[in-house]
Amino acid sequence: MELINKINMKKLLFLVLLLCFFTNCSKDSYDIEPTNYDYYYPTDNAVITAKQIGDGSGTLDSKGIAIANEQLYVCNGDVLEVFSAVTLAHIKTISSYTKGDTTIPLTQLSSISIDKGRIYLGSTNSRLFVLDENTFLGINTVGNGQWWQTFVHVFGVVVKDGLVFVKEKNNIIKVFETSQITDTSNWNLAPIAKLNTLKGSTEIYSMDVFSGNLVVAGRDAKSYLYYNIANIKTNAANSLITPIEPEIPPFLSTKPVSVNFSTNWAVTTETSGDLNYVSLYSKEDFINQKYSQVLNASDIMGQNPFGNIVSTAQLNDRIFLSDNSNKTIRIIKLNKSTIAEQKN
Amino acid sequence: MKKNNYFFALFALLAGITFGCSDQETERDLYQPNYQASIDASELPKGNRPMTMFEDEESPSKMYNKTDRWFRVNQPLQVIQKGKDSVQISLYSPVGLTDVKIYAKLPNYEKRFLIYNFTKIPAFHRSFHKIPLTEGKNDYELETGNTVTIDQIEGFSSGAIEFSVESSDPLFQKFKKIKSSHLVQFSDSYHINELGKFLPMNPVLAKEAITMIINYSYALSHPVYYSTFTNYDQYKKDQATLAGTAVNGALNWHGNADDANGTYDYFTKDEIEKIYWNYLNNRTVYLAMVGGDAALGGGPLASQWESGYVTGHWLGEMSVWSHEYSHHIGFGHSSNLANSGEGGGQQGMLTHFYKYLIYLNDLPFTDPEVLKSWTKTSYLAETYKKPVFTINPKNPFLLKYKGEGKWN
Repeated sequence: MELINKINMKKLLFLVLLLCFFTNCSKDSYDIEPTNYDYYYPTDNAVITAKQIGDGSGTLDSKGIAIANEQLYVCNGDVLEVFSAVTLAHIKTISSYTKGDTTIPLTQLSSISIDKGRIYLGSTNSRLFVLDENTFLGINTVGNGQWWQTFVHVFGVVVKDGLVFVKEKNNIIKVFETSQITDTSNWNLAPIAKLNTLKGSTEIYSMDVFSGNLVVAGRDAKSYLYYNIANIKTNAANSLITPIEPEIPPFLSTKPVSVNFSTNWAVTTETSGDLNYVSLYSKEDFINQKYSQVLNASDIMGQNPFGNIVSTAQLNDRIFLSDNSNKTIRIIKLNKSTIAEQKN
Repeated sequence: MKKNNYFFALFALLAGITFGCSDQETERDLYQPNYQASIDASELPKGNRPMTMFEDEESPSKMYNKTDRWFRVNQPLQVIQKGKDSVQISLYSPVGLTDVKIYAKLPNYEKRFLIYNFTKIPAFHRSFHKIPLTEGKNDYELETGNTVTIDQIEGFSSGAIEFSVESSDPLFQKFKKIKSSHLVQFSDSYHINELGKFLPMNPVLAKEAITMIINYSYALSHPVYYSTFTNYDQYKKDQATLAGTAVNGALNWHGNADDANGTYDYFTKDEIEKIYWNYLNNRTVYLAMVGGDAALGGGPLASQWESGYVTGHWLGEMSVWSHEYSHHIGFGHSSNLANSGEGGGQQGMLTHFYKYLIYLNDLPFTDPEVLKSWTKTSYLAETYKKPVFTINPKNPFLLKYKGEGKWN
């Protein structure tokens, strides 16, 4: 109480004035740090050709690829190739599904997805093979190879958050729960939901899941197709009668070929005229249907244009491209340069 | 205690005044950019491989190389990425430019920044330049005058860096107004396959053809031409009123169907609008020269005689050119867009308009002295005099606009 009494108005005014002199140098704290932006550009890092497989006499007809636990998996015609994604050394060729006494040759592999210790392999021969990631032994198969049974061929598979999405030859994606597939489950599983991709064709269909959405590179629909997963679950029963249609943003003139959500980016491949592009978008922008590209390249350093890239996978700063027309896995490195906008 | 307080306050006040923030200190803190020197393209070192395209004595095989010599009419100053780290700069113009700024834009950063500042680029100049971003960390000026510092970038994928051009040169301001994006090339296939009907051209004629197609593209893009083209019925009525007669022939634009007994396949207003933009689209046109009885056009081809290139276009004699170009756009002899029959068509109107633009000095190039082709007798089959332009006092555009209508 006594302290307050000692500070009279005159003093207070003076103190305020004094304070003003001490603090009015706002320019001193003027922010002169530049605003930084990142520019990304690709350089060639390595390439995997048929020569690196086994004795080097085979072929490489790469389709869907995936990376898990630093291993690169490549659907190569009737076999699955396994490489070290770090050294690129060939580790193994898996040519059949083996479970106990049962052996089924792998044929016409189109697509692959790896989730929670399981490898899901789509075959255009109307089967989904499920293998153990560690032993490569069979867990079970879905579909029996007859197109009029469980699947009308399989042209794409992605597994995430407990759901399995299988793209058929026609305009349908069948949705299963991972828990439906066990080592004792029936091959003829009933899907929990169906999605309509509007158009279908005999092409590899690439898709991926991010932030509660399934995104399909709808090469025939000429757009990315978005399906909200919560909505799929809510309308699952009804979708078996009327498959759920996607949300289609008006897209550019390019034709989407593949989509993959890596740690940092939405990595897509697109074609426009004769050119095949690898494009990077921020994942958040992409899922919000904003398509400002962080990177868009049809070749590296003006040379060796990309062929038809049907699938991509990323490991750290390297992006693996399944270049089907050039029969290679092309590995590009992402480089970063800083763009510093000065405050002058 | 009280006294001490006052002393402290006084001292603080003095210190505040003495050491307070001065402007000098702020200036010292601001980033001091170090920009690349400006370039005079007429005095480049050998390393830039400077050259003049279409020199009179240059082998015609060069102008007929369609992958090397091509340009879009709205971009006579062409900047093309070459390899991972260079650009090729080419000016398809008989007159040089001054104060040319070439900007670059990168993905993930929305502002464009200045990479080359040319004080001068001579006519038909070509040279090669290293992209400074590939050479090291540099400062670049933004359009706002601010600075952006960019780390070295090893090289660029095709199209990863976008270039754009700005210039205060009045000629460049005219180029910027051209709305057509036709791609221009020279094709030797016509005279190789049908020599006589078509004749080989040479760089002297190529320079004239380039000059003409830029002027012609500017004329088609002109707002007065657009309004006349899209209101052709009014133009026809005006001509009839002037002549004191009824409208002669078709009342408006019509298509390729036969004109039986004055029945025309008229286009709708929307179709006319669309046709106008077809004239200005991005299709490819092959310029060629004829030697026979008839000039020819169709598909990518548009051609005319030597005289049209050497002197005709300077005098505004663009009737044949308009006719052949309209064949190239897709119109036949039954349509008044190509033909002059049935009371006049586009070729007459365009010619009047073109002459009016020369009269107004409202074309990119109106002075034949810039090329002086009529003096280059060893490159020409005929002899010519210097073209001297005069306007007919009855030119319908002169009568209507009376010296007004210049495109500002």
